[in-house]
Amino acid sequence: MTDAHSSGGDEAVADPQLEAPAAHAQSSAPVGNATLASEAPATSALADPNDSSLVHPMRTLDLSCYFGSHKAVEDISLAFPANTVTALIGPSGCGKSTLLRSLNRMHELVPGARAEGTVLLHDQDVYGKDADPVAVRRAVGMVFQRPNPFPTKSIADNIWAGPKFNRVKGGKAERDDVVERTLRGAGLWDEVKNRLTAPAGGLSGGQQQRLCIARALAVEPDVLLMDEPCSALDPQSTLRIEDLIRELKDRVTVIIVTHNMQQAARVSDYTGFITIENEGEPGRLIETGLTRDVFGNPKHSRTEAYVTGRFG
Amino acid sequence: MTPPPPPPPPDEALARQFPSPLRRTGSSVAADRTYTGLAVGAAAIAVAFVGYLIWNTVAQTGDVWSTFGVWGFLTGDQWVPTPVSGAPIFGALPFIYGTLMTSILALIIAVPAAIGIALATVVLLPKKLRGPIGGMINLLAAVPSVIFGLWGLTVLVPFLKPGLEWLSTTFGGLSIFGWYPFEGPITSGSYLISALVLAIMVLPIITAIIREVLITVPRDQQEAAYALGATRWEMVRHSMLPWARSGIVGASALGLGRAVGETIAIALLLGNSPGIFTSLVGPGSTLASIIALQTGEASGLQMSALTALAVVLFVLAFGINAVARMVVRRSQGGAARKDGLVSRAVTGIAGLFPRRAPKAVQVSPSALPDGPPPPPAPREPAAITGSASLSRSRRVRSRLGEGVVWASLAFGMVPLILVIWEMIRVGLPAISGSFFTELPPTDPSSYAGGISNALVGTLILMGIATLLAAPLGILTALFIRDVARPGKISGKIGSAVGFVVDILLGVPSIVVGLIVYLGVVIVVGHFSAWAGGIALAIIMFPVVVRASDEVLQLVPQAQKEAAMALGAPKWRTTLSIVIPAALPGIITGVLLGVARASGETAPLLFTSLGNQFFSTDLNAPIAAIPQLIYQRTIQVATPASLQLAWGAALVLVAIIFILNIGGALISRRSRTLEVR
Repeated sequence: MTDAHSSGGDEAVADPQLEAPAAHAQSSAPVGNATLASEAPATSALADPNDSSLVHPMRTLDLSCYFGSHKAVEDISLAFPANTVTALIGPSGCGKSTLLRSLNRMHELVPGARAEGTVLLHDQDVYGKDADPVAVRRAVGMVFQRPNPFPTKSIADNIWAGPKFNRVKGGKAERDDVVERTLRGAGLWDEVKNRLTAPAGGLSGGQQQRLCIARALAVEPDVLLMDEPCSALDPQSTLRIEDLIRELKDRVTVIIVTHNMQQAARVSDYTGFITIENEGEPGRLIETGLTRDVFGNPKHSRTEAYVTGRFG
Repeated sequence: MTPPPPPPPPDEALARQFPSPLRRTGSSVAADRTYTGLAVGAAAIAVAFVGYLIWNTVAQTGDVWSTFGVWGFLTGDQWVPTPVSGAPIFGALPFIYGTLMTSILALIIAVPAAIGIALATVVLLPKKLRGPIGGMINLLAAVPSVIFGLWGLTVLVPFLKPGLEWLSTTFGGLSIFGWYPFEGPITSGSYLISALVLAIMVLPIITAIIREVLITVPRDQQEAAYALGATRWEMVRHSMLPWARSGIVGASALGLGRAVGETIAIALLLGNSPGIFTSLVGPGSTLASIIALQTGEASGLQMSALTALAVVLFVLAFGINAVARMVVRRSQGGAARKDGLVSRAVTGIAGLFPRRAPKAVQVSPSALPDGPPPPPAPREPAAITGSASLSRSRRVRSRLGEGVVWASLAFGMVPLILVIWEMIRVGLPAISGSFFTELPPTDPSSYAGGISNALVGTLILMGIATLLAAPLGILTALFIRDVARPGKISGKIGSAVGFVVDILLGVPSIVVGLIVYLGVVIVVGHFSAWAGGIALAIIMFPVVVRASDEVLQLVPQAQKEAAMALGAPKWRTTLSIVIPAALPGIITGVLLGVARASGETAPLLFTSLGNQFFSTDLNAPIAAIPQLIYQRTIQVATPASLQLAWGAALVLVAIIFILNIGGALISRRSRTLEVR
């Protein structure tokens, strides 16, 4: 994948064609339409959900998340195109992490928390009657803010934990294959191949986070959610993870929450900006579109204020 | 439910699926339900059984209320089971008085000593000694009640008798509103000596809680005092004690809750003579001791009255504990800490075995500062300008204050050393190979024989109790902490179960013995090892639940979320993540529970009854070590039988110490690993 451009500083003048997701977008026109269609900023889609040329493994329709009676985010409608990286940005407390956690039903694990609205995974409702949260989480993986490997399990056992949880009965050969494949996929193989049986707690923070990414990949999710995956890491490790994220979209659809705007600009194809208008109100989606448009040519003054650093 | 889709073949399971099914296999759902069912079932069985026992007990008291009336019984000052003429009379007041009098006297002795010991082990002692000394104080808590009774009767009473006689001759005429507290004659049973032994027994729990509160005194509070030029004592006096005040009140109340239920030592030391405002150097009787002494041969209205006394004792202990818990919890900054059974064990007894510099612990931001800041050398708070030295009176006062602390430390240490000394001096000669293989001699003057029946009996009773209490306790803890969800109905049920467990934790063991007697022995028709095991299980159960609950809370949420985000079902998350992380703590909890139950005498008196002969029949009465000590002390009491008792005490204490220390070490090692 040649995506050196996305980390360059010249997004403002780059051809939109270059920014379009490599795998599915044949032309930039529909994307452009979608961006234009988001003039009314309350709710909008990242890309036109009805555009058959784009596959959207995950979509939300009027999704609202609550903690008890407090509404954290309101009426979010988004479509996440396949094999792209979508960044959700916004100031602290705007509900972007809550939104992310509601996509694989982790949100409801918090006492009193619930979500209303629809989340579609390949046209099946994640909150539907038949949907089982355990199955949802198997299909929608997640990487957390702080690296959370199982510290006493070995590196290999960490990778194999997911398949084991899902009762995949693989022999040693298959297990070794999965371990190597996912560790290579996470760019960690060369560093740990000689100590696969060592406890994961002994890895550095950046390595632990890449291990967590590899662990999430081992269950072959369709969508990978990343909740500020670099916020607990040093700059060097952050860059390695960012490289990895750009590579990941070959395999999965990535949705990443970050409050580091440079990071969003570096890694994502699409960006959604969420913010709270006034204290106590829920977070709302303000603007969505191609990352270069949101950052280079924002439609909404709130977005502009945020991405230029004047607020938030 | 819609029928589950066929599970994908293994090699395809890892392959990309569009769309992924958002359902899971029936077996996975069934496994989750099985786990939930087990946890709910365990909690339900435990609560239902305890509910049945309590209901059954209360139902037995009907005769008393209808004969004397509730108020009449509570305020009746006569207890005449077999009158020369007329109907028997039963009143609870002498026993309520006796219980409160012994307990309050004990607190008057124990609380100042506990404050002193806590201060010594938190601030005053050199850092290296704090752990070991604190651990030794905690060992006091592991010495069973019956051994304190034995020690009190054979060592303390003869030693203190001259003192009591002096008290009665000097102050015998002293009267407080018509009450002559030191009036003779001197008998072997007395309030003062009972209270002294009781004080030693409740000392460890009070000390432990005050310690916990003192440790939370913020460093800047201490530094503020030092920065003003305070001596170490002045810092303690003005920064630490005011901070810990409500904690001290709560700790005292918890000690009171413990003291009112203490049975066996009191039954041995107080004599048995119900009375109100009788002499403190003379005998008395408490709720617990009268139940222990009379239930064996009671029937009819007397049995009913004894049961009513048990209900009174239960309510008393529950009320005191409830208030105490509230105060302690509030004093710990609203952090809503439950009694830290496991952490107390880890910081307590295991302190006897200091570990090497805990480097990793220092890194942890939650690690509490372990004492006063090193800097300003407290003995010479020299003013900046030079040689301004402490005034003489300040220096004397500081010395005095610290002197009191050292004295209370001695008060805590001396009995422990004396008890252990007596155990070795008298008990060790009794121990030989045959001590473990032979039955106790029938001839009371024979020095031969052993405790084989009691040793095997104790092992059997502990086995039954552990097999009942450990699985039920662990599953109940999982129900409270892992299955029940806060904010949902199950969360409320979980808290209710937790409340029942807290109540059980404070039930005096003699009450447990009585309710099992009424609910099992009477119902089945005979004493049995089963009944004894059940009684001990009821004592172990809350310890196991609370200890497990405590460590389950410590399992990091991030670990659980990591597993769930990988699509792990509930039971899988619990089995692969939660249980392994909590296991050392759970094992510690079980060992602590076993240790606590194995020293109990009171619950066995009318459940497993005891047996002179060797028996492994679970449906027959069975011997136990604590009971053998009790019986040899109270009924035989010859030098030979006392030697046997001390020998048995040595074995019992060895078992309990090993269980306690083992439990603490298991938990501590795993914690060290976790921090790394």
